[in-house]
Order: sequence, then C-alpha cells, then structure tokens
Amino acid sequence: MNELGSVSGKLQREVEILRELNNALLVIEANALERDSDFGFSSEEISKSRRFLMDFVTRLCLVLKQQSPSVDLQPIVQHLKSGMKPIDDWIEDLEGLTQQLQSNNKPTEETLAILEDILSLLDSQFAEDLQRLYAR
Amino acid sequence: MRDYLKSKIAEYSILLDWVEHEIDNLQTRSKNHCYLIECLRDKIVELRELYNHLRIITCIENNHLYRRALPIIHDIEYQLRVVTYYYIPTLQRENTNDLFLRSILLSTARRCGLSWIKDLVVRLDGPHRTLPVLTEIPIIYAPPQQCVSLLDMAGLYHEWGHSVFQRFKEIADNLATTVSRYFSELRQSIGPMRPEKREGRERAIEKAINYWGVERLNELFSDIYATFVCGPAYYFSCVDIAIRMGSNLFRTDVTDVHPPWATRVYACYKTLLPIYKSDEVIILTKNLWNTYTDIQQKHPDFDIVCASALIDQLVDVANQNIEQLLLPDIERFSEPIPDSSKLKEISPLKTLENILNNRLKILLTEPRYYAEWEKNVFKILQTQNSKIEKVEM
Repeated sequence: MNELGSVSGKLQREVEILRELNNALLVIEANALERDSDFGFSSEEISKSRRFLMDFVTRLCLVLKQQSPSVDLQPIVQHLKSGMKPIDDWIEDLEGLTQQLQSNNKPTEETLAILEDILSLLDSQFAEDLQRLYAR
Repeated sequence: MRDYLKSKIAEYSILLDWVEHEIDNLQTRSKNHCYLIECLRDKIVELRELYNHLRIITCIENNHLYRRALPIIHDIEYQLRVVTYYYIPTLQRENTNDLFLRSILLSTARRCGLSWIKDLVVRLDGPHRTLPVLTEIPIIYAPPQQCVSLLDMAGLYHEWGHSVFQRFKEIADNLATTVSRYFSELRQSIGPMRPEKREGRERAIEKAINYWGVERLNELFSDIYATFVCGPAYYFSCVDIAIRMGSNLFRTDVTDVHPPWATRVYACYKTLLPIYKSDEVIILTKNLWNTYTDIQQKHPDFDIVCASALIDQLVDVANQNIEQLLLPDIERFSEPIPDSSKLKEISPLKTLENILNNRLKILLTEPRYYAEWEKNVFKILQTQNSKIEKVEM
C-alpha cells in the first residue's frame, strides 16, 4: 500500500491535460508565426486546437463558478483563489478569451498571456509531482 | 535556452534509441506480453513526436515557442521514467514466481470488473504497490514471499482499486464533489459565534477540504473497492496492517497520501455487507480494533477532517460509482464464510477471494491448522497454474 498508485495516477491525469494544452498552444502560436508547416500542422489540427482551447477555458470558467467539479483543474482554482485578483475578474477575462477564440482571428498577446499563465501553473504542479516519482 | 534545448535533444536521441533497442530485445524474450510490447512501441512513437517538436522549436528560435519546450521536456521525462524505471526492468527480470502470481491475479481481474485489463506485469520485490498509468496493462508489485504466503495478499485488491480509479476519471470528480458539498453544508450549519472563533472554524474547514485531494480520495476509494470485491478478508487485512505497522491511527498527516488508519478501517467496515456484521470473524476483528484504538489519542484535526458523516457519504458515493460503472462485470463478495470445521479439508479451490476469506476464519478460530492449510492452498494453486500453462502451450 505504497504511494506509487496514487502519485503516478495523479501524474498521468496531469500529463494528459498538460500535453493537450501545451500542444494546442504550440499549434496556435506556430500558426500565428506562420511556422505551422515547419511542424507539419494541418488546418484541421489548427481548428481542433482552437476548439480545444475554447472547451478548456469554458470548463475552467464553470469550475470557477462552482457549477462543475474537476479535480484536474484544482491546482489552477486554488492558485487563482489565493491571488490578489478577484475570482469574478478571472471569470470575466476567461469569458472574453472564449469570445476571442470563437472569432477565428489570430490570438492577441493578451489572450496568449492568460493561457500561458494557466499552462505555467499546471506545468509547475506537474514538475513538482514528478519529483515525487523520483523518490518512489 | 537554445543551448540547453540542444543538449537535451542530444541526450534524448541516445536514450530513445536505447529504449527502442531494449524493447526489441524484450519482444524476443517475453512471449507472455505481446500486447504490452506493442503498447511500449506506441509510447516510443509518442516520445519521438514530442522529441521532434522540441527539435523544431530549437531550430525556429522564437521566444514564444521556447515557452512550449519545458512542458515538453517534463512530459518526455515522465514518459521515459514510466518506461525505463518501471516497464523495462520489470519485464527484463520477470521470473516464474512473478508469472505465478500474475496468473492468479489475472484470474481475479474479470470477477473484479476490470474488463479492460489486457495484460499484467507482476514483480515480487517489495511492498504492495502499482503503476496503473497504462490502464490496460498495470504493473503490480508485491513482497517476494507472496508466492508462498497469503499474508497481506488481500492488499492486492487495493492495487486493483487504483486501476479502477485511473480508468474512470469521473470517480475522482464525484468524490471531490461529495467532499465539497459536505463542507459547504457544514459551513452553513455554523450557528452564531464570536468572529475569531468563526475565523478559526473557517480555517479548519478550508484545511479539511484541501486535505482531501485526489491522491487521498484515490487511496480511500481503493480501500472501499477492495472491501467491495474481497469482503471481510480485506477489512481484516487493514486492521492487521494498521496494528502491525501503523503509528498514530488518527493522525491526519499531510505528507502521507493515505488517510489515517482509523478512517480507512472505518470505511472498510461501512462497506461490508450486513450479512458479515454478525459473523464471528468480523465481531472478533472489530473487538480487536476497538481495544487497540481505545488506547490511542485522537489527532486534534481528526474529528473535522475525517468526520464519520463525511466518510459515510464518501463510502456511499464510491459504492454507487462501483456499481454504476462496473456492473454487470463486477462481482461483489457476498458469500457467507463457512464453518471452520468445513474448511480444514481443502476441496478444489474456488476463487482467491474465497481462499482469503476462508483463511481469515481458520486464522482467527483454528490457528493450529493454519500452517498446513496454507501449504495445501499453495500446492493446489501451483497445480492449477501448471495446468493452465500446459493448456496455453
């Protein structure tokens, strides 16, 4: 009854969401820089990534509004709650972000900055938990 | 950043080639694990894709894209660790004892509702633990003596519980919602109070909510699941381990992903079917537990963090989830434990769950017959296993 099962289980949940989010941002950013062909990203992949980001942001909004449970997004929720910026302001920003992503225009620096922050939180949590797998 | 990325690309290139080479070697040796070898090859494809993205990011030299590199490195590190720390060495060192236990466990998987399990790797080299991240092919570790001893074997069902928790992500969300709802109601029920006292109470509630993170819910769920499929034998196993190894049974230790033993044992007892609550072995075990816990001091946080009303709700939700997600494949252990007079003579064995529950009865009521009984159990299991091997050949 060692910790490996629950620690690796948590890591697996985290890596799935981290990879999807990071990859979606890579696709969108490479597209914005007109370097998508370097990676071989198709237009279908670009649309899929945009949809993924919209779904992700919508899900995060629902979790912040406490309308939907999500264990996977808890690190973000806890971090946002402990910060200076009120949760309602975060929700407003995220709703604006969804609208921008829906508009099909290239994402602005501001849009990307919010997603970068969220990704960075998830990545820090993942890296911290990864250390625990070293110690198993 | 660019130079660092270049160094990682050089290192990973060698490592990925080595992993691929080792998997090729394993393919020629591991006739029992063809599906697993294919899954490991798929992992290499995934890793090569991540590696390729890293290489292109390095070539493009753009600050925005550089930010994508670190999560990719963390992802590669994790995947490599799963393959090189766990799967490759476990397969390389697999021996006949590992395969013996694997065969026993695979036969339990179907009854335990684990219909998605396609293969299993067992390694007898330490405490019970599992790596459930390849959901179709987990690794289960157990102590070396597990091939000749039933001691703690019920704990293997707890490891299956981690596989269930991993397979159905909604279980974690449902349990987390239960925790959140319970503490929200508790908050609302607080009557008039001095502000400083209220603040203290609020802090205690917040601390309790944070305590029940996904890992602890996973551990508690795995106990409930193990009792669901293995019945009294798992409940007894928890009591036994807690007495042998537990320190403070009521301690809510934030550095330990397991809930306190007092809570785990309580959850197991609540999961037992009513028919067992009046059984001699359960009464004996419960009395033993009560005597032991009476001399222990409660941790100050225990009553709020692990309140019995909360654990009751978590047990109910976990049991509902098990039934909703795993029925009709799963078999809840519900057989009455036979009289010890009928247990001494061993007839052809039924299931591992039966063996472990019969064991409990003999151990607690007729311990003088136990050693011989256990030896016979393993003789029969070995015979059954060699028959299966012959059929497979």
